[in-house]
Amino acid sequence: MLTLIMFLPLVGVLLCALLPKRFEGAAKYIALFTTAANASLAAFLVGGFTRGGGMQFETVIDWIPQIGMQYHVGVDGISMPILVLSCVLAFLAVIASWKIDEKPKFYFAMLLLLATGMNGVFTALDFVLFYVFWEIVLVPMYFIINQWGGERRQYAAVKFFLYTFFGSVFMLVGIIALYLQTGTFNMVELANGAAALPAFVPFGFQWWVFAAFLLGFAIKVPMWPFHTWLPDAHVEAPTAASVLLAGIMLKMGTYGLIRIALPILPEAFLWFQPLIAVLAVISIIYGAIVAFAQTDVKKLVAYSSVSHMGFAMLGIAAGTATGINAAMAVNISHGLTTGMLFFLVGMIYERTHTRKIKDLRGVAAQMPIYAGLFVFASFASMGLPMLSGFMGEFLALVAAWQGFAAINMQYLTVFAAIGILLGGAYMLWLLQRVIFGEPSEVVEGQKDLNFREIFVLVPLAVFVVAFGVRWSLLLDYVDPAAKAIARAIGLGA
Amino acid sequence: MLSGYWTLIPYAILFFGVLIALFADWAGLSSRLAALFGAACALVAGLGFTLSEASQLLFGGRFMLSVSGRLVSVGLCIITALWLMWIADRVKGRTREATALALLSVMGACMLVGAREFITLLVALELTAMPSYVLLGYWAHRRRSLESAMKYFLFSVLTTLVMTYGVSLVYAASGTTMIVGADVSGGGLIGLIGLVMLMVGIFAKVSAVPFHFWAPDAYAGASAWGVAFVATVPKAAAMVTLLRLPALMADTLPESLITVFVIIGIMSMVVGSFAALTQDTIRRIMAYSGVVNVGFLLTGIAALQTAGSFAIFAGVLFILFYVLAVFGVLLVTATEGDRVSDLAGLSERRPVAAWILVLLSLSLIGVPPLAGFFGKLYIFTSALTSSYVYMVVIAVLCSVVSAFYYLRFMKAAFFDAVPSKDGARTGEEIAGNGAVSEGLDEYDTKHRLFARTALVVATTLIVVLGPLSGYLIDWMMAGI
Repeated sequence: MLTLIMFLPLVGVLLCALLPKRFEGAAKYIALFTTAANASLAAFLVGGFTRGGGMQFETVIDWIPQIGMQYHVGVDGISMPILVLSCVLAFLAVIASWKIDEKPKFYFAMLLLLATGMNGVFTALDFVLFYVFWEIVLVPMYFIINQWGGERRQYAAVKFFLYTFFGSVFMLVGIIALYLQTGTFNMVELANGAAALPAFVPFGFQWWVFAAFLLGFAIKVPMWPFHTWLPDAHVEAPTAASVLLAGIMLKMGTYGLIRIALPILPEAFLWFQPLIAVLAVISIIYGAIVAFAQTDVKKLVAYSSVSHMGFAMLGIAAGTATGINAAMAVNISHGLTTGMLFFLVGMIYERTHTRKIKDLRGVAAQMPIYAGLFVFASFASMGLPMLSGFMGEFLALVAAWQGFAAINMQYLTVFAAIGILLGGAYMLWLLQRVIFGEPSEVVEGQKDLNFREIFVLVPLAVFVVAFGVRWSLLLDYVDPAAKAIARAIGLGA
Repeated sequence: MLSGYWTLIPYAILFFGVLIALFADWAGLSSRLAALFGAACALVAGLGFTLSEASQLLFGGRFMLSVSGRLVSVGLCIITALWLMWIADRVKGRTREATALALLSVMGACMLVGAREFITLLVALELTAMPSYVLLGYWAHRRRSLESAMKYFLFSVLTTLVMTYGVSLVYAASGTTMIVGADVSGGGLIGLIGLVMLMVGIFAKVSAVPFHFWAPDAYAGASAWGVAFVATVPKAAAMVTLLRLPALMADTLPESLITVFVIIGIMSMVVGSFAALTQDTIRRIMAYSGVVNVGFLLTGIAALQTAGSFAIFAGVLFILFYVLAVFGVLLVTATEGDRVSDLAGLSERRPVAAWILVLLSLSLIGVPPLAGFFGKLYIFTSALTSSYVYMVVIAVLCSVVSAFYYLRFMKAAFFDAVPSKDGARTGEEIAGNGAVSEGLDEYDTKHRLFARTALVVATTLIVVLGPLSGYLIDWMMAGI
């Protein structure tokens, strides 16, 4: 089943590639069909998932046995929610891209390849397989930004590719080093081995490998000071790519830390804990402050991502079950809310061809449905209680307060809380400038959202409310896996 | 199954191809048919190598096709066959001698990977290299082409002489010309100097820093199709020799020679990756990329003592996957022009070619699941077993730097605007560094079947061989 979820989009890529030029328009139907099938498979996955049942839907086939490489996939409570989010967002991204008419074959093929890569990252349990998907993601993103991007797209695409490639090659060195030390690429065995036997991997070695992993993951998250590729890539990328970039690809970094770096290298994690904590708080504050200064709505949302992902890192830095729950809650909630925001920014850009805050004014008067959803998404992003954003940020603060007591850094929690405040402030200021007031020239006479656009946003909004009202809808899945990882680190629940 | 001296049959088949090509006029064959016949011979020879039993000592221990040598021979025969198929369709003019030269060179290359004695090694090395000089300067009326051949010839001959002198010193110190067991420790400094001089010849052939500077000039001046052969088959054979020599001498190799490998490896990686950044010509970039990749190979060679036979497998797969991608890149861009900017609009003109270029470039960058990634994975895995971890760190940094110029190919092919209707194809513009897009008239576009097949096969191999490389390793291990 997981194999199907991973490779169904790849079949779509092949179909798109074989499509004759005359029927180029059919590419979007192929993309729609495969992503829809994927989303329904994801629904079955949720239905068949046993909460707290550890690794499930596993498939293990020998791949290159000479060096112990396997085709090994499976999901647990950590990866399942992100996988589902990834399938849903890919489906919505295809619908949102319905109007793309510049080389549709190429575009949808790349979008589907991206989906394969993302799904693969969250299901792979063999290190090399994981790395394969981790890298595959770069290629379609490079092409999408370069072909359908904004003005500085070539710069952004190359920067994105090289920056993240730089991080991943160090990760590769870490993976190989770990393999040579332990003789296996099996992520599950490595994680269990570390839990059963703390001295499994010597500390000095752990330190180096963790540093290599941290570099790779921190660039992907992105954590300050490795964030500079993100605003460029986001601003230049077309809407659907921005959504997938923020919604799923950033989560690859936090997922990697939770799945790999923490349980396999627990001692090194404890050494790096203060560093991650400080960088996380800097990301939160820095992202928020820089967001204030932005004149472009999309760039503002991009910097808010840096700030929000800081909360996920804060939860990870705590290293407790609560912290990992928090990180996962932020991951999912940020994927939903930022996905919504990027979709919304894309929709207004399609109409007005500007994203400048000063040009956009009075959207509420002209496009009431749009304004309503925009306000909703902003509130969710701010972390208003009863919406999903609150769950992650609240849990992250709790986890940080508890977890940082051990390293005497509880004061960091205060700074992080200020970050929430700043987050509320810049979003409200944005709403004030863009949504309210008299309609500006470009906004005047624009049509409100059509059915297709509402259809893209509503499912996300439903999830935002559902998770916000009932945390257990998400956390029941995550919590058992989070506890297992926290035990592996030795910090307990 | 071929065993004993019967394992030499593939060489005879290759030589038969040489004779047919040389006497094509008498046999009434056109250049095209001669090349296609040569391709058939190379394929049959490749098949013969797969059937021959490996690891048999011949000629009193002077020659032995090892399991990895057998794989290299098969690979090089396939590349030569693809190359011959391509020139049969694409290159105008009298190419039957080129066919003969290529087959001679690949014959030498397949001998080189089996040589276990210094004199045999030297002879095979020269048999591989001599035809390459001629291939680079194939069109005698083109001065730049002649200049590049001359540069390569003088430099190569000079270093071969140094190498020969080195062999004589090694003989003086060890009393034997056999590679295995050539213990130079009795000769003191003389033996060490001899070994270093011996390696200089190899370093020059593979264009490792500081013996690399002939490569960009020689490649840039010559015809792209000639370079596509010279930069792959003779280069791969030399790279394999670079790997085999220390492996064969593992028991007697002085520790200080490993230090030489480390230093040269680091210099090659750094110089190669940064020097290529400022280049505008595709072939110059590929020449520097060759320099970088020799550096990567040397990270694995430095680990020979710790990784054992895995280092050999890793190195061999790395070399084969690398040259196959270079081969494809050079041929797919050959008919477009010299400069990267000539690729502009390729995705519109030749969409399939553009995607082939993308896959090959990504393989060279090392993006999984393409073959180039597995080559790097294996070589770094064996390199990390040694204590030269910093070499691997430098290597991955350099692969990020070099990713930049492979990305330029993709960018030019997909996203750059074509300067004018036919500006990129007239061949009259002069690039900043003096490279001239001349000689595009030497390509024929009439025939398609074999040229296309060659490129598609090369790309397919790049896509499928990586994930299936386990079978290749199995095949190599089966013979031990």
